[in-house]
Amino acid sequence: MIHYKRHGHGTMEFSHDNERFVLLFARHEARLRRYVSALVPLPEDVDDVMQETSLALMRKFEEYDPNQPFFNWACRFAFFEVRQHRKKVKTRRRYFSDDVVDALAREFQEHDQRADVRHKALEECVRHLGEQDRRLVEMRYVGDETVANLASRIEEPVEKLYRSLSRIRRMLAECVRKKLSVAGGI
Amino acid sequence: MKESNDKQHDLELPGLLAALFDDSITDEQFARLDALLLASPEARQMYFDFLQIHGDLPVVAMRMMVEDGRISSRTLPPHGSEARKRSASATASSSRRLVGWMKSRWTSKLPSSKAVVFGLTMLVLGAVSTFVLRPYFRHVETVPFATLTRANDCVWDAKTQPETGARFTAGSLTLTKGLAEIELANGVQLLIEAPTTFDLIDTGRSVLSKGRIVARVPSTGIGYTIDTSKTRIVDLGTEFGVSVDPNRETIVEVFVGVVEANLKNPKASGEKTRRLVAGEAIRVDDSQADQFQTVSFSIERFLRTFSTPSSYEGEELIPFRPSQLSSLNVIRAKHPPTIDGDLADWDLSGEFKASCDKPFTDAYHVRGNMMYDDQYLYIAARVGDPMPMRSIIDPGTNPVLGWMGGSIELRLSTDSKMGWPLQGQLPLLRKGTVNPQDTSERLAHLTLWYYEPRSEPCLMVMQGMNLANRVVNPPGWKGVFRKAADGKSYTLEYAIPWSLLGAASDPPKAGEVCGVCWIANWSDATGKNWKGQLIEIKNPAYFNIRGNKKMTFQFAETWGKAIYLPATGKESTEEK
Repeated sequence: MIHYKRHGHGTMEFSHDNERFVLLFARHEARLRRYVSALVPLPEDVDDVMQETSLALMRKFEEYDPNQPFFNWACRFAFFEVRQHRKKVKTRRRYFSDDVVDALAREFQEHDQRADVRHKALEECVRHLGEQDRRLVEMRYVGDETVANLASRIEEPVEKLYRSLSRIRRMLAECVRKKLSVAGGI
Repeated sequence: MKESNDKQHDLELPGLLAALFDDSITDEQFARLDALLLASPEARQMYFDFLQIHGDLPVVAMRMMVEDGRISSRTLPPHGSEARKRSASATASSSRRLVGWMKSRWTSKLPSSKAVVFGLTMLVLGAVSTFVLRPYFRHVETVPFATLTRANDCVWDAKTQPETGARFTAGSLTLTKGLAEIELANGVQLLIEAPTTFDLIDTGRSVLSKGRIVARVPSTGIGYTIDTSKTRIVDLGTEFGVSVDPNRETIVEVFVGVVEANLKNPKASGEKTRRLVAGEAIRVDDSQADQFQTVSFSIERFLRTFSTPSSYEGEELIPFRPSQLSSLNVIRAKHPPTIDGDLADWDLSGEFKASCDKPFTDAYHVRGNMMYDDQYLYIAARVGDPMPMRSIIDPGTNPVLGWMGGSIELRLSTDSKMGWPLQGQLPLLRKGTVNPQDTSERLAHLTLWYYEPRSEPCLMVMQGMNLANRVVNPPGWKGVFRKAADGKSYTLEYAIPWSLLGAASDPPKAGEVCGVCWIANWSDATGKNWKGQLIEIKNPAYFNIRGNKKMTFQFAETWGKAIYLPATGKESTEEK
């Protein structure tokens, strides 16, 4: 049985089997982040929600039933924290409406079940990109560089880069869709 | 109608999603995106598809670059270091490989006259090589995908010893001494125990030539592979260890989850692949025809983690070091010290010293001091910390987690009449009548940390065992942190008015005994993940943590003694 101890004000210290929580959370963190990222459009909001979610999970870990999937349990907390976060930042407009968040949350798991297959398909699709498109992807994604910075650095019009990246993502999406379709994935 | 919706989102969504991902979306576009996502499941499906592509492309693109050999085998020292600056010049030769591509890109823009094309091409390439290629190659030729997140007592077979935070590209590494943790860009963590030689290939694969590696693989890294000369071990979402001894014997042991072990040279009719689950281990020896041999699982075979702080207040785990000190002398200050991070004006005669157990002794230690006068409690600590003053825990938003990113915590009583051992405890845990000490403002919990993003010393105070009256950076206190020149330790110095500790009118006096407990917390390189802890000045009844479930924040009886003494007239004799 896992025990996680906390006091009423949120400060916490681990009991002897906290390692179980750490391992479980580490194993599911990336997937949970994908879930939150789907519901929350801005990366900085994702970080905030993930932080709040991880704390909530730690605080309630003693209520976790190890016979149930950890991810599903964690998603409930993440969903709640998404809602809470939205209330905090309601003055900002870059937040999906409640109905959209509900729908995305409902449908996420079905999509995520084949995330690994899509990942492999994407690898194959990237291999088939033209040389220039592939270089652009590398510059944008491996360098983690903003489009504006990239445009400035390689002296391309920023609008042209936006269009190029949009075109490439659309090509990749279509390529992945076809590969999964052939494999019976859709 | 559905067809119409499909067509609509087919037309609009990719552009809106591109604007979202490239951070150029307008409010109107965002509203439209929301409306489209609400309108149809197909739009949401497309959103998920594009979102995954956007999320996966960094790893996929990096893997392509590694496979193409466009990521060099070089260790990158931390940004800004002299070694890093020197390494920048090394990109020059490899940069030539991309000139062809850049040339084709750039010459296509030029006028058609051959002479003009030639002249401008040379001119542009000169400018490109100076202003465009150099920044570009920082990404392409030297893109690191692994970070040295923790290192203890490490010696590497390399000209330049990588420090914590060093980033690695593909290449061979030999750890001759110590214990190191490397985290890959996809979240895979490798714990390397010397002596070990291995090759980082990319975020999906490493090759172990000799030694021991434990891999912890999150869902983003599923499929992570470790090759040995005899075996290929493929992760299916797990934590596992692989060792190769001098006789090239491979052992694979699974701690969590499942791995698939594949023989590279199996017997013709023999077993080629074996799935291993948690608690199973196999050996492949150096015989001509390889085969799996089941061996007993042994928890001691691999070092799976740096010692964890939880062990200290928990049980059945190896502690950083059990508490050994039961009291601390708190010296009356003859003169108020200047709070500047320099302890030359301190009377350090009451100092306590504590270090973590081997192999962490030299790197993780603390020396703590307390002084007082009628207005202030003074606190000073010198803390050995390979990653000092990195906390990114924001006092404005997460003060209760201030301890996690590296900190000193103190729990103390300020009223000798409460006696010792103290009786206060977390009210939720108390059976029966609540003791007045449980909610007394004369019991205080302090967290002292340095918020790196704003270079800001921080203080959080809570009172009572119910941790009430929380204040963060309240008026009246002063604190300074100072990092050592070698970057491996820091000094903190605080003056906290007794009024913040519920003792404005009746602070402790010479000859009195109160309660106190010190906790030093260490983080990893990120400045947010709690990785180590040392607790000192405890009630000897709670030194032995085995079977002891009483934690210091819950039970004040676990705290040690603070013995308030008169001024000695001494000041530090240590050099400034």
